[in-house]
Amino acid sequence: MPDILNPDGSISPDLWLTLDDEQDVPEGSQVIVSLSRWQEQRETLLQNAKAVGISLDNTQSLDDMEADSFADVALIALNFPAFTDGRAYSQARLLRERLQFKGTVRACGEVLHDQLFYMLRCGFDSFELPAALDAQQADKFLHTFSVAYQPTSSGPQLQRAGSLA
Amino acid sequence: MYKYSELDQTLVNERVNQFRDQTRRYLDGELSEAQYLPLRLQNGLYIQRFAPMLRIAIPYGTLSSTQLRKLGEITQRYDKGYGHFTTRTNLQLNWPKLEDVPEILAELASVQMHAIQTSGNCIRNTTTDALAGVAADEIEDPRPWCEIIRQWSTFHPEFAFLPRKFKIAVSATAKDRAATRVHDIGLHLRHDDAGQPCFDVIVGGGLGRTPIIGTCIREALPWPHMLSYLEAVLRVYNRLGRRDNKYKARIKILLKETGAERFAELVEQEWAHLKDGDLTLTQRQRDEALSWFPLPTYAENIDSTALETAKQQDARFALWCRNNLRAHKQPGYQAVIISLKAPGEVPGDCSAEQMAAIAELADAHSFGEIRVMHEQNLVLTDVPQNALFEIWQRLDALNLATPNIEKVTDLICCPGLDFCALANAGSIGVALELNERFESLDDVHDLGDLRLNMSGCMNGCGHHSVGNIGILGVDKKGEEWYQLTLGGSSRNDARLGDRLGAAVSRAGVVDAVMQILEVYIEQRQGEENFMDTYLRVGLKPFKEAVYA
Repeated sequence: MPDILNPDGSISPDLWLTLDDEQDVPEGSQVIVSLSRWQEQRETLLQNAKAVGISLDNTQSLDDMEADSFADVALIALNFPAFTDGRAYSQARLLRERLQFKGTVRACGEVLHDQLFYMLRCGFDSFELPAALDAQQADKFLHTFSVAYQPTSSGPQLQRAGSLA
Repeated sequence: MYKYSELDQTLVNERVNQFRDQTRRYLDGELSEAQYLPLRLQNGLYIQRFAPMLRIAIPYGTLSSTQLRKLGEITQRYDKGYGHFTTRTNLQLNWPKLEDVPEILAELASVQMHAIQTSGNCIRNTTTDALAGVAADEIEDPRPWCEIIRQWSTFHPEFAFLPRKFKIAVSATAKDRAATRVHDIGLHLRHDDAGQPCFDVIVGGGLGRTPIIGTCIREALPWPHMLSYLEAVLRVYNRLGRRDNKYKARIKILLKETGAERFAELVEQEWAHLKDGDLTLTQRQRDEALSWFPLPTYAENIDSTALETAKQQDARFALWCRNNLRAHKQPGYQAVIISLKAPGEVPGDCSAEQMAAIAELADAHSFGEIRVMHEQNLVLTDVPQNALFEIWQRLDALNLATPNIEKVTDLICCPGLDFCALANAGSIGVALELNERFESLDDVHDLGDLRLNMSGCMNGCGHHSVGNIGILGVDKKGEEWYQLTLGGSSRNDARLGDRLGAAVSRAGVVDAVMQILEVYIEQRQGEENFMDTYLRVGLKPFKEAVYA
């Protein structure tokens, strides 16, 4: 079972099971399914699983989603196929700020130490553990900067730098 | 100029610590080359042909004398005693040691400077007119808006990994001096009917392999919405810009493939959600931003009699005054352009001694401030006319008073094959040879205003596509060849140069330029400049002369 990094720097086992569209839901499990499966089987999934999460491709548009589209979703996994592909940062902010998603937003894929700060600021609150991340060091990477210029309503509220505060 | 608050300083100090740690992890083998690459790039650190290259940010080209002195000291301590000013008004060091870079950043932080986002696929340094705040033809000072953009774009968490680099330029004069039509976003500041500042937003311009002139996607954007609108453009680009091919990843390609109208719609849709949100600028914030750039205390009634006498007595001084001074808002003052294009020197290069001397002149005569021009020259923005002769003498002694601003030898040039890992051909050697051909400054002056731009490869750092005469270095079976274009411009009449014909050899390129200039002299009518002559007569006579 892979590990998950939490925003407080703690590391916990991943309790979520990612399912292919053909795979059955093991009773009482926490499952991550595709968006299309969620849209087709919403009620069944909610009945069978203990909690349902969905995984979104980073090309998935959120423009047509209603504010309650993810009302019963406990976790949304966003993907970084390469750490240089920053599309999921925008998705995270849209989920938090436009769709008011209150569940967990998890960063999956190539999640590296030096991106954790940006991810946290965009509203991610769960991270696939970067390879070779020393647990002692996690906090340092999550809080590289103590101030920020941008007002964002997601993520930790840092003191506003600059003179426009 | 803008002075850091305690929090700005905290952020830059934390950046130094972060990069120190990243570099240590790389040197210790904890970070792979691939993982370290985007981290060092976002700190302006490239690995070049012979050595690392460090690009230092000079926000909208504004430097204090303290900062310029520090830059000179850094080039002496960590490099070879000179730096190279770029078309995006930054300073490049060509020979720093990788392991010294964290220390260089710490030195920069001590004078409120950094190398943040001077490279990498993120929002780069915002640029503007080097005469901002003093130009006689200015609508409003663009610097407060540039600083607001600087703050918003610095460590923007959503836009650190864009499809490709992203450059913003702001122009606040009717005559565009910031090349805004060849930037990813160009903002044209003007006043609306009620006299309030507003922006025309030009998107999708750019040079490089596919040079494109930007398109205006929104007119008269009211100033309170400047940041929310920029955020909307960036978000559309971050989500939809191509990531499959780095040569098609700039916003100009997205705009072209989507269509400007559709792209504008997408931005408007996104903006509908962001408008009036957290990024909306208030009057209080605008006032605050204006207060960052107070007017200096100008002297009244400056006596210019001695200036007129000196001009009559010294023809070299008079020529310099004619070519290297610019009009100032304040009576009795001038902006002085310091030419970094002396014959025999690499365009844009400046030695540590020169930096120190310019800092001293700025302290003595220009309120301690220096600007970097997009054309790779420096400016003392606020010089009283009674100090001009003394300044000229000092600059002349420093080889900084070549009277060639906006003339053929004031060329824009990239570092080329001599330094750059990307280049196909040398550009500096061609620039030097061209300079040698002009036997006297009178010849240069006779050619009138003329922009000659040269790039060592199609990435176009020397802006060849928008040169009145453009020279592009290409590689042909291991040999250096040069493609010529005519009629490009990055000003209000922005257009891309037209290809003259087949590339010419290294041995023939300077001859070709001289032939082009001869055709211009034959064909011009009255005071007509090169560009106007070209637009009137077209490519044909030039082509015939060069390929005769």
